[in-house]
Amino acid sequence: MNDHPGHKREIFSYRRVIAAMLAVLLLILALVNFTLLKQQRRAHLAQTETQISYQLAAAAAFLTEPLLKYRFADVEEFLRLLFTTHEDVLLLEAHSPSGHLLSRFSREGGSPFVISRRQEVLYQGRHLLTLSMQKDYAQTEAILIEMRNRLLAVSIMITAVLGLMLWVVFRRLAIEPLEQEISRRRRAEQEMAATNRELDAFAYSISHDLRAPLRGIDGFSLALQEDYEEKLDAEGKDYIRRIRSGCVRMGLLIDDMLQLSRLSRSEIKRGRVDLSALAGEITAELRKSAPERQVLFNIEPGVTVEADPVLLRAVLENLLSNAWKFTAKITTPEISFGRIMEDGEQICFVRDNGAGFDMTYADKLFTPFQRLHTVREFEGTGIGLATVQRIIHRHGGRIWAESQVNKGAVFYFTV
Amino acid sequence: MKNKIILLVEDNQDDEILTIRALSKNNILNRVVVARDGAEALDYLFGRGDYADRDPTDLPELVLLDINLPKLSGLEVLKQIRNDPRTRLLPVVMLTTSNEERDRLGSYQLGANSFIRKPVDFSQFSEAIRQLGVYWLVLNQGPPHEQKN
Repeated sequence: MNDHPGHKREIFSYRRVIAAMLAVLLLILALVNFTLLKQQRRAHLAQTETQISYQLAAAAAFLTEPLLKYRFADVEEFLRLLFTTHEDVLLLEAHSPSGHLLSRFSREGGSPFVISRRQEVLYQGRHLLTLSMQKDYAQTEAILIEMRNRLLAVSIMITAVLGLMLWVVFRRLAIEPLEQEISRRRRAEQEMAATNRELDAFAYSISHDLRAPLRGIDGFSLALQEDYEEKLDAEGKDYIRRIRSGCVRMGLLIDDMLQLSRLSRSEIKRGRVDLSALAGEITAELRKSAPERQVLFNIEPGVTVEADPVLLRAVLENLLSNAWKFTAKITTPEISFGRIMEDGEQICFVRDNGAGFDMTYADKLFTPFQRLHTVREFEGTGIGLATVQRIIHRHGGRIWAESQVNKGAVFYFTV
Repeated sequence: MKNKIILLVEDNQDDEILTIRALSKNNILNRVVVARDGAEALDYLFGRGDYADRDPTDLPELVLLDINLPKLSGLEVLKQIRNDPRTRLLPVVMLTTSNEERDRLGSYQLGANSFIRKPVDFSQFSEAIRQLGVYWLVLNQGPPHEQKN
């Protein structure tokens, strides 16, 4: 009845699996992006460096001649031109070989991405001038940041799309059938509960409505017997006795039917049941019910099963009181409870040496209201063994019997 | 003992006749007032409706209450009896055909003093009524009646 949490757990774990897969995917994508960006950045930086070295080398080559001819105004003019035409140049300085600052051009950059290079102007090994340049490569950095953002967006999109696809696939393949199964079971359970409620109401009304008129019949029969005693002859009194015993018997039948229906509907709550102890209690009660009877009980100690204690008590009560009943007419009655092991399976048994039954009718033994003895021989309603069988079957066990007329009977059961 | 009233709440006429017969057969000669449904029983106890002229402080010695009743069920009647300070201590014996566990449990939870299942065998029923009468009307010391002003 309570197996839904299992399905919920499964669905939950599917969600977790998908989430974990997506997390791993996102991590891999992030790693790839990171590596890619790092390479890009290195390449860009190398490019900027090459560019700056190239510019400085070109400037040095161009300045060699004016320097040799001491045309410093041309040098100054060239540097100004170089500076003003390249907006990414933050600082351009020229130092004499002795370290004296000859000219300086600078502009505010404010960017943290700055690269510096210096270049000596040489002519036939003679040091003429030192040029130094600072360049801002923030623009390159901006491109990289833009690139990173795009990669990130694409990664997230890929993950999201893939996650959605995975979820849809999982839903279709695993969750939908599970959910259908759950709702199917829930419906079945609700129907079952409704049926059980109806049966309960039915049983209740049987117990009340069938018994009430019965009590009337019995009561007025007795009133007839008591109040008109002198008008009734022996035959009339016998009729009344028969009416009344019919009433009592029908009362018993109703009670047993109710017990059968109640036991076969109640929920099975399994626990460890000490059958030996139970058998001991039941036989003690039987002894008390007829202290004059001398019955030898053999109860094997330590027989336990995993079953519903209330229902198993009903099983033993029925089997043992049957044994008690059917040994009533023999001189040395003996009733045993014990177990045998067969292929690793525990088989419990109740054995008696009483009236027994004809194995030809063994298949009728567990049918409700089916009796193998007349009421005159042995009283009973014919519901006890049907109840026992229903309880055993509800536990997923088996029950069968072996007997010979007047040599007793053995009832075997597993749970 | 004779002037003590027994209130029998019973809708089945057969059961009513048989119960009264069982009482008289066992020499329980108290006056038996019969209410045929739950509402009538409460009217009698609280002096309402058809019983408006009755003194509600004059309580019966014992209430025999069936569970399956038309209108108000026996359990509801019991609940109202226990909820009213005037009848809270009144001895109530549930007398019923059903042997449902929930009826028995419900009766005791609501404060029934006894729960007796009417057996099919009338001799047993008669014996149960006899013991009931002896216990509740003779042996048992009921709650002290409130002083009338």
